[in-house]
Amino acid sequence: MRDNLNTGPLSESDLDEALHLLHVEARTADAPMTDLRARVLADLDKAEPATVASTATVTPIGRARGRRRFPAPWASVAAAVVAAAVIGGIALHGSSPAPTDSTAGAAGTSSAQQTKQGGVELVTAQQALATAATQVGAGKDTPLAPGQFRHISLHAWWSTGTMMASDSKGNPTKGFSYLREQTIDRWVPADYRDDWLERRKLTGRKTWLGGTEPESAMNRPEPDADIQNAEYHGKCGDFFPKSKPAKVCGDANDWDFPEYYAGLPRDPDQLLARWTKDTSAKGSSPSTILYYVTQILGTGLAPADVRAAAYQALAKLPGIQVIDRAANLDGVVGMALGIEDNKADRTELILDPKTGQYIGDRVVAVHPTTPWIKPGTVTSFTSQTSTAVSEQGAK
Amino acid sequence: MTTSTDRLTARGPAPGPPASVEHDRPDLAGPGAKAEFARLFDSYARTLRGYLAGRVGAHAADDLVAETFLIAFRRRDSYDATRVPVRGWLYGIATNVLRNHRRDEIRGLRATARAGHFGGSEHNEPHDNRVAARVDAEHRMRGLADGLADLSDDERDALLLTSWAGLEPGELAAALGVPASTVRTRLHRARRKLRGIDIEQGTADNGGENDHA
Repeated sequence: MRDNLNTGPLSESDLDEALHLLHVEARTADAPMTDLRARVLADLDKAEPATVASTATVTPIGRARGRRRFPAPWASVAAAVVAAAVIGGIALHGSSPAPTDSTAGAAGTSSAQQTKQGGVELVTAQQALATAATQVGAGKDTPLAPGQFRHISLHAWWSTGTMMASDSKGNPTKGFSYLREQTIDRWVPADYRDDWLERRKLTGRKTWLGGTEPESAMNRPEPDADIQNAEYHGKCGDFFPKSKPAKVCGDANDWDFPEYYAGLPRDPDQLLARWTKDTSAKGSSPSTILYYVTQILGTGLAPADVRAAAYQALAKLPGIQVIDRAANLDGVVGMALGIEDNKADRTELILDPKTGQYIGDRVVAVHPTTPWIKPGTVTSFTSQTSTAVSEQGAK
Repeated sequence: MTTSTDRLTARGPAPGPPASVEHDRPDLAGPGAKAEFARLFDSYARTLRGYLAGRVGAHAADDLVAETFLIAFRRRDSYDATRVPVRGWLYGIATNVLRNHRRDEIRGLRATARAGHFGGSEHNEPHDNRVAARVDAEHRMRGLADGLADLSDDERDALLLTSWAGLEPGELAAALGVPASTVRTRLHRARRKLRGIDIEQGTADNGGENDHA
């Protein structure tokens, strides 16, 4: 049993929405009831008298009839929704891009030493983060004027797929994976208690990653297209106001609100201690903390002093290193920092080396369990910008 | 777009049973029982099947619906119309039926969580609680599947009977034959646990069952 995490990031509305989506296709399938109705009524005809049957034991009908029980109930029915969960992506252009191996040239790099390429001294992750912290800390976020909005624009390639069969451990044995491009634009009002807006759009661009099915399988309709091509409004970022308990405006544990950032220490050691504690249920490994911080930076809402302290805190993580000095985020090039700890995936935080700003992230499959995903495949790729605009919906 | 927005904004715990459900407390012991059960089927079987499909998969749902109605019919003398609307009674029976399929459900939830890591991102998922976070429910859903598998049976029943089947806590308590306070406790505990899921880290390596013996 997992420990409870009161400080976990999942809000009540997150939970309700996830509950709504879980196995939604199976739950809402509009299959005819005619045959089932006839079967049930026929069963009733054959049923024993109530006085006798009241002590009847519960016998699974499927087994009684010798039907084979399906080991993975959702594999073919709701797998589209299940597996359509956005997972990873890659910044790709053209009709036949190939996943890249970002580990080349970076493997084995010591995080504590200067690295050399072609006789040129290269900065370490610690140096890069220290520089970025100085750059970010020296600047100040331009405060939003009343009526203005912070526009956070995310451009992502995330993977999706369908699992059609799996082994006894749930590892896919049949199915396919592909990447799809999505844009998500969010406008946060100067007063966060006002109306927020988010627009999501699947561009329709896809790239085949592999599978046991023909490549054309990825051209099937996206099962979650209605959700991913949609517009959401909500005061206080509460896009689902009917959820209960309600999202608490100004919740100090909610990364949407300045109260969360106000409660964070600015001292790097204390900040690292805080985030170590926040991730304790997951072991607080360096890569776990790195991922956690990536999420926080990815909100686009962390103030400059928090971002600077975050960089300083990250520099203290054992094993953090420069993975790629020129990670291409769909045309936006940045420095990828990550931790090689031999886990299934490696998350990389991407910084703009010129400004020190967080500009995106990348995920690389290190030990994929999906048989057609090769180790080293970039499975997630996002880039983002944050600007002040005077009109909600403006870019 | 309007449709999806409406669908999402309408999300959250299902509303309480409409008056017709609350007052649907038929006499099942009379001579017209079979006709009454045909009516019950027409009123509740579709939503019951959807609920069961969500829990053990569409392939098994028809069997479980049939089993539920058959048991209900056999035990119709035990129905106390003063205690619970007939819908709640049916879901109470379905809940017991589901207990025999717990392994299938757990296996399916693990498969869902596993499928969620499809594409090679078993460890670190990219974008929760980021810009896209709050509405990336399909992403969270996978973590939720694992979390549901980790809940006790009672907690999972309470949560899904309210969230998916739309039973009110009071109706649920009557259906399960436990005090309303117990149902509230189970619901609270389940939600607290699930809110604590770190869906990014998932349990991709935990492909086995967790039976909570």
